[in-house]
Amino acid sequence: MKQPECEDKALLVAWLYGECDQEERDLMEAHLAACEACAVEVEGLRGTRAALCEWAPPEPALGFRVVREEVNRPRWAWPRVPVWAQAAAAVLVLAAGAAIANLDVTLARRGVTIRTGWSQPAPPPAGTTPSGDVTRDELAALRQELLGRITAVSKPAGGSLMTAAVAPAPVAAGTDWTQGVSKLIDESERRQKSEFERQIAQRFVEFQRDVSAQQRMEFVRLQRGLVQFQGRTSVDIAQLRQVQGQVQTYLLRTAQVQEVK
Amino acid sequence: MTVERDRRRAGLFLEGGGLVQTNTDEELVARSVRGDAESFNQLITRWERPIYALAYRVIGHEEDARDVCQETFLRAFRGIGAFKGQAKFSSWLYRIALNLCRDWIRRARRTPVVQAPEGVDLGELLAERGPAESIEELVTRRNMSRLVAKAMMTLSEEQRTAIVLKEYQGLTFQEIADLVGSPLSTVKTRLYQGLSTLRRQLEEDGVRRGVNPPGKMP
Repeated sequence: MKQPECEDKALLVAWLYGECDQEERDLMEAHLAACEACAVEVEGLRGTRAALCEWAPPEPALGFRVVREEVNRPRWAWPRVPVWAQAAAAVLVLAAGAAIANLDVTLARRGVTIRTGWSQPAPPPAGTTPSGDVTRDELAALRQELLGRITAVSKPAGGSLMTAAVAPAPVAAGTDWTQGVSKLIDESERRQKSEFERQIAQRFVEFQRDVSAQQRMEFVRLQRGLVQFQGRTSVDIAQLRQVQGQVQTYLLRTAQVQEVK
Repeated sequence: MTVERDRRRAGLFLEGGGLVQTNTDEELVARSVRGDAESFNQLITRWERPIYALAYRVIGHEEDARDVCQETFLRAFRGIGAFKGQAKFSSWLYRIALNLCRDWIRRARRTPVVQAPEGVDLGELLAERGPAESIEELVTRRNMSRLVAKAMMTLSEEQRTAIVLKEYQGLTFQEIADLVGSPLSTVKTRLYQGLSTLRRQLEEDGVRRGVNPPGKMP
């Protein structure tokens, strides 16, 4: 005879999976002790659960990995760079551009002239100056005037405290002074240039060294992988042979059993 | 199964014979939200097998299960910023995966088919064999696995999903109800009906409790 518990399949399932409280458990167990039909059903469902354990999914190599999706960002966006860093980067780019282009800024009468290494005009013929620039005569006059003023300033009003050897002669000393400055400037430029070339060469050597080291590492990794693969293949072949032997034995046994029958 | 799932979530893994504590799901999620892709990759490593197994058992197709698994993590990565932690990370992943499985089944009204090769492939047998398992036991287990897979595919999608989440993923009835958006009683009913159908199907195929399936080795 059917009892109310026979119809309560939610309770039966909860009991089967151990997800009911003590009161429900007691009720179900008392019912199963008294109702053979439900006891048989529970036994059958337990068997089904046991069979379910045998269903194993395949185990393919997965190894998914997420790589930052930089490509999806708009090219103009600098989402995580602060403003000061953007400004610094812009200055750096300009400075690098100026250095590469051999930028030359000169002040002439007509205004500021900006020239790059690629846009420098051919040197003018001797004795001529570009139209509008300061002429040699004007420069010479300016230099003369400056030397005169320096000489005047060097002489104290109340009498000369400088010896004749120290006091520069108006023109000759002025020529030495400008030549010395020119020499110093040339020397400074030469040193800067050689230093720059040295740094470039050093960077290049470092880059080459890094690339070689990376190539060596890749090669070693590849070799290791090959060795591991070879080792695994040998083990697999050995195991495969073992299984083949077992299968042959089994087939032989089966054939013998059939012969006996 | 539940113990394994809880350990996985808490970042406890067996390594060299002992349990090793790593970062919990919550910690890794927090770092992933801050843009740490490596933390998200650790979550993938932790959950890709369960998600793949879930997809395979629901749709019954190896390659498509792999695609579903990959798409699940891709969607999770894209939406990790919107994940507020109101549910467990694993539940959130299961929901994404189940939605994708549902899409897969309904897109072309495809019937899930478990790939079950009839012949015995020695290479596959070798790979599946347990440490102390004989070849006879292995063949028997494979036959049983094939019959169970076949029987599972006769169930409705809802019944199959309930059984997969309960039996293989180890979720509680309440977790399943929350995941599929159905009342608790409905989940229990689906599970009961699914198990009963499986029982009948397996008995028709000659599988009874304590009895090996047909085609077993002596």
